[in-house]
Amino acid sequence: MTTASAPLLDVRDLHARVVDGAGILRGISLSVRPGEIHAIMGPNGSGKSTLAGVLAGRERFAVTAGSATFDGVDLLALAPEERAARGLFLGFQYPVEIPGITNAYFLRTALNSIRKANGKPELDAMEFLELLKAKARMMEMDPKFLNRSVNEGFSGGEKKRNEILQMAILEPRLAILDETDSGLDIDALKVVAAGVNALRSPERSVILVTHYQRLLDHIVPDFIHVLAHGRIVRSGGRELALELESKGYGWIESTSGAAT
Amino acid sequence: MSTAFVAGFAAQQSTLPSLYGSGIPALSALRERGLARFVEQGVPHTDDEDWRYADLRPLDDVQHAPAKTIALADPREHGLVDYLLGGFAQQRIVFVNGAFAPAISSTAAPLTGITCQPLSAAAALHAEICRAFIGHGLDIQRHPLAALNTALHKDGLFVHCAAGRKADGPIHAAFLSTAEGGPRAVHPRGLIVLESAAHATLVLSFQGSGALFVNAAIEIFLGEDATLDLVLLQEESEATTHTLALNAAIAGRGQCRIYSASLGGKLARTEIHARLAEAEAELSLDALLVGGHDQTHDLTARIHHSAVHTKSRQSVKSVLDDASRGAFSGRVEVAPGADGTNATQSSRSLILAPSATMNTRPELVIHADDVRCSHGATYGQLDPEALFYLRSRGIEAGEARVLLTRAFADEIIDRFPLESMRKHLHARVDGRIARKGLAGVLP
Repeated sequence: MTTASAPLLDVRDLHARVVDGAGILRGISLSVRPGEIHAIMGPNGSGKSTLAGVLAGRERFAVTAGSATFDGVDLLALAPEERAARGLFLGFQYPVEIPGITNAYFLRTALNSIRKANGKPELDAMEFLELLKAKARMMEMDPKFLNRSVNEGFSGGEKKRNEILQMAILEPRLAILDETDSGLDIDALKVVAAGVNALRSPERSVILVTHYQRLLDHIVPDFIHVLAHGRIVRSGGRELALELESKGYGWIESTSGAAT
Repeated sequence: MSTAFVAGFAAQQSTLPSLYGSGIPALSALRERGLARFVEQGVPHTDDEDWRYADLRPLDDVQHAPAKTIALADPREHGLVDYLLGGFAQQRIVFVNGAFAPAISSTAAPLTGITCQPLSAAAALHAEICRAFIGHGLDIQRHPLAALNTALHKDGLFVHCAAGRKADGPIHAAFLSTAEGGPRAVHPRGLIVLESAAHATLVLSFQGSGALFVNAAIEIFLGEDATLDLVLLQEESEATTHTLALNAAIAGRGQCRIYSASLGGKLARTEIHARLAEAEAELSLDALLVGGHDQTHDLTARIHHSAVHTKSRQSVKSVLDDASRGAFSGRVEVAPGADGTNATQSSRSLILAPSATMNTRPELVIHADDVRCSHGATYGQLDPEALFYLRSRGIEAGEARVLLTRAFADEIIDRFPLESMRKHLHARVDGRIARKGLAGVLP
């Protein structure tokens, strides 16, 4: 553990609700330091995706109390694109199909937007293509997907692979992967996990939002937090996932009063 | 009730003898009839269902003098945009304020059998063709503005391809207009005749500046097996009222493919009549309407299927921002006996602002039994989830809006012929989408 370093993400008593919806956070506190992998688990409707959406700046959420800082900056005051420029990445549970924009063009525009925001020179088409091809190989992705419209007609597994490809290109400091494992067969899960593991570094942090513990067999987290009713009701190490696996979420929900 | 607008044109009766063709009795008579018919009918009113979304009443009190004939040495002087200089057209014929501008045109025939020249010259040089076709496409009895154009057009485009001739490069006719010295009217005209099995690619562009009334009329005649690719590019200034009436008569197995982009104008109306009068004649219309501010774009299409196995396809996409209005009225008429007709129509609209509106009116009038006709219309805003997806990858909000809008419009633009034209349209559409972030886009 790297307790000596300052947290990259520091969430304190965060309250938020979904506009026109049911999701709610009732006081989340979470510190993620550089290099750490945190898993956020919980039953459906516990607030996992709400937390991911609030951190990435999804506009359907309204923050009612609490704070979140990213590298010391007030994260909640930033537009989604500014969060991305500072190194935050959200892997979508349901990646969006965008007809008419090719994957390659989309990724180049995204990467160059982030480089520009950080005062770095933009990559030209050739430089970018080299990078893209290398990363696609790593993700065992058929190059034909690069010239197709973003996610259009992709299978569930291809979409998730595409999310990790985007992460590999954009090289975020904090990746929040929202149920990246859902809808994946075991082979696709392994490829996605390998992609995430390949990006592990002492500077890069990951928050894995997942319903199932099976992803954690492939990506080993440093910490596990269990969400229920919009609160973190248990935090612990890897053994917590195994305990959940054997006892189910009902166990957590029935004892969550004592935990909070 | 006669308005100042109508009276202003009626007063130009005395100028008719000074216009080209005054020595040709048939043409003089046609002009006289046109003006009489216009004065009699006046301007179409929004009470007329066909003109419901194109309100010309703001012009009622305005008298439009004929636009001045001006000498023009450098096209850039009056906003002839760069793409015209890009040289995509081997042949370029330019009309400034309705008059032929030889200094900036290049009309040397690249191939025998293909003629591209001003109507004023063709009326004498190709008298028989002109007599056979001019005024025979558009119905001036039923279309007062076409009647007005017929009466007062100063000059126009004449394209003729002899049987079997294929124009190997595109022909570009540019109509440029200026409103120097007050409200001015221009009446661009076109006569396009392709004999059997001929082929041509034509670009008609309309650009100008100031308080203009640009009233265009185009007549197209395609012989058997002839194919025409026709681009209509309307980029007038937002002070201009632009109306265009086009009639295409298509013979057996002839194909008329129209690509229309309406970007400019305060009020811009494009009215297309296609007559598929012989077996297996085909028409396609790919149209893009891009509106902002308080612009109005009205596209009206009337497809007459009156022979067996005729085919038509209309694909319209509209991008409407601010308080702009769009309208597409597409009527398909299938005459008795026109069995095997296949007609499709689709209208898809992207509404970028709460005050922008789109009206789509499909109309199928079917008098034959064995036909396949379909139509569909959709309206939508930019998908907030797609916008968030792009922004979450670092793409700034305004840029995300441009990217998604472009992706919507590209489907139509990508069907236009000529790479340079597609490039030009991409740039124009991008430029039109205000980079104003997400105001009014997200709920």
